[in-house]
Amino acid sequence: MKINGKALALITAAAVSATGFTAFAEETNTAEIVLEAENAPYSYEDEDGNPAGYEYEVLQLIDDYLEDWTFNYTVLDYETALAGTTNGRYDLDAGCKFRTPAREEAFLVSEAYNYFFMNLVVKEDSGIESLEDMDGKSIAPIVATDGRAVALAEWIENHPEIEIEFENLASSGAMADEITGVEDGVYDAAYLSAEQANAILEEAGYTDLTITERVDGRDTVFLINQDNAELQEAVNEAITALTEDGTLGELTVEFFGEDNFAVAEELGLR
Amino acid sequence: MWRGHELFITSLPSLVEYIPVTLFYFLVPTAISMVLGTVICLVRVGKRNLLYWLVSLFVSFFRGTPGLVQIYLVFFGLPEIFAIFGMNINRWDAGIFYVIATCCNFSSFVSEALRGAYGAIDKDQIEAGYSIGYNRWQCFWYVTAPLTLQVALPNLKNLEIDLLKGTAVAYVIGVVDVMGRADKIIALHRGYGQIWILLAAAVIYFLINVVIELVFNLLTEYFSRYERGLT
Amino acid sequence: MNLNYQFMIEDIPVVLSALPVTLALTFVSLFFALVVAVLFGACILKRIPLLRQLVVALNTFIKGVPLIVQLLFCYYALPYVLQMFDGFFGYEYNPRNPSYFGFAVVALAMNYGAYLTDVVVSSYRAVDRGQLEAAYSIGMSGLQAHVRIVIPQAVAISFPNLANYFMWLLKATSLASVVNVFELLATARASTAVNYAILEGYLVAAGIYWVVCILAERGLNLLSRRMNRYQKEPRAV
Repeated sequence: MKINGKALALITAAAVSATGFTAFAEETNTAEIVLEAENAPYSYEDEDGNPAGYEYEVLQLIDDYLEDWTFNYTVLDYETALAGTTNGRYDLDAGCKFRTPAREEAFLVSEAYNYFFMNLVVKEDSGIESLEDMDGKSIAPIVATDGRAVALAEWIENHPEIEIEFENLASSGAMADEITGVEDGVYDAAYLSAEQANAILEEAGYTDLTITERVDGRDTVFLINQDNAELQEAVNEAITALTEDGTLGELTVEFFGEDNFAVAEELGLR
Repeated sequence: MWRGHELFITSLPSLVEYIPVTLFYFLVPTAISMVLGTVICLVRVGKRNLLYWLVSLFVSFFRGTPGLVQIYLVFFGLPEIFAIFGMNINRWDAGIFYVIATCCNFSSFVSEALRGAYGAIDKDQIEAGYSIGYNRWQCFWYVTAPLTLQVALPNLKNLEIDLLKGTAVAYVIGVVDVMGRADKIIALHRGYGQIWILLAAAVIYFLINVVIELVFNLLTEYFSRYERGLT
Repeated sequence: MNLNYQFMIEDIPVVLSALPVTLALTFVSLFFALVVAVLFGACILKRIPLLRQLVVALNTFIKGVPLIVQLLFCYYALPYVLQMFDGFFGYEYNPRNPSYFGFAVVALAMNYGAYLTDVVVSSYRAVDRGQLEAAYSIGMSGLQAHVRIVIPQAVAISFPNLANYFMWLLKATSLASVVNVFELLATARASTAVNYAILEGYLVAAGIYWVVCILAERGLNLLSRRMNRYQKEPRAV
């Protein structure tokens, strides 16, 4: 019977601490954050398997700012991350996502925490400097789910006088293939960010290609599960504060070499 | 096409590092599925009661749908089932979900291979077993099981080969093995030289595969060791 | 489960519209896989020197490499092969519109051709030698004996295995989405681009695969029974 008494005491202690813990947990909300893998320098897993990248640092700043929220992180494949955020397993999906009408419909979307700019990669002697020069020319196909495909389609729709040949890929493709398509003369231009283009050009050693000035840009947002308006409100509050005090601008300088918020203002994106 | 061929050599060492992971996700489901597959097979050759129909439904589903969907279903569905009992398994390691999904899938295939083989063996042998005084358990252990395995071996071999390569899908829920690692290297290079990195992974899979073939050849020899006397 | 059931019902016809592509991919690949298997099988069974060793080595390699790698290999390498045939017999190579379907067929046919070679070899060997001898004894030529006696029996023997591989192939076509073929799974994925109900889309696809597999299994069982109608179990008296 002694043992039973002891066990009872233990269980009671456990129960008390458990309820105490729950009470504590209720005060601070936990949000399950899913970061898209393979999207360096925005979000990826470092060599030790820990989350890393610009998005992760922004989220950490937000977590610090929000006293009554704790963030848990998981790094996952692009599609699984989206499926999980729709389904509610995760509360917030981060991975350099453009604001698109479909996303605004399917998720709660946060304020802009960064801007993403697109450039064209063209042959040096092509004379192409902007999308306006692309009349009657072709752009290498982009996967339909990629934000770039949506942005480009939108631009084409808004400029009916300029006819650009552009198609979406069904389900998969590699950025390097887009640039190789230009190098091989299959397409006239590839449409991607200067950082992405530079990395590929450097590695592939294509010397007769050049990157144009920025041709378009988009704000990037976090996608939040439909039922979590509370989290959206909190995250938005933090993003606004961190943008206003210049913290995010500084972080973009650190990551991308210039203040993306200032550039966006120049381009009329803000 | 030759672009990026240097990546074949440079990516090989970091792929080799992940061989133990691939082997783990190959051997654990194999061990579990051999047992579970046998149990399922026993139910499927037995009486047509409620259990029979439930198990048949299970086998039909896991044989008839793509592995990717099954993994998604376990990854997203299982936590919701556990949540009914107030348990939160969302933070379980992704590998556990992969092993569960794979075991469901693989034991279904194993059970069918065994069932097919059981149908093909000479039932007179079992009668002969009883006639020399074996009980049911002895008959199963000394007659039915070895004969069934012998017939099922070629199919089991192909299933095992498929299982080994199947770990490639585990990547979608964050399990990183040789193929997952290859995907990560490809992403780092934004798809440049992707075919060469994949070929490096292919060579590793091929070599493991050769070992599997050898093991199965030995097993085939072992199980047909009494055959020679008859011919 | 927390699913968008309304959408799943609406999604069924959308995903179903891609079923013909999946079936076409399955049957075309199966046809070429059988061609490969018969050719490879003949090399092994006839013990053609050098070719036999080559075929065995190739088979082991193909089986040992993940299908997804083979698909991507075809995706990257075949355009270069096609380029070489530019201008041949009026063939015009168009790098903008590669035949993704054709690439997938090549990869699937080679992969399943390797597996089916085993089936061809083992079922040919399983035909009783006495049957061939009996055919010769009534004056049939080698070709006649094979066409009329051996091959029908080998086909009947191989049938359960063939049926199994057919189902595998049917599901394996879903991997063709990585080389941009709009088959069932890719269509299901694309259909969720508006609302991101990815899990739901996949479940709809899985349901369709399941139904097709059940129907295929039923049909193949019936066919198998018909094929084996002359087979009588030799019963010990």
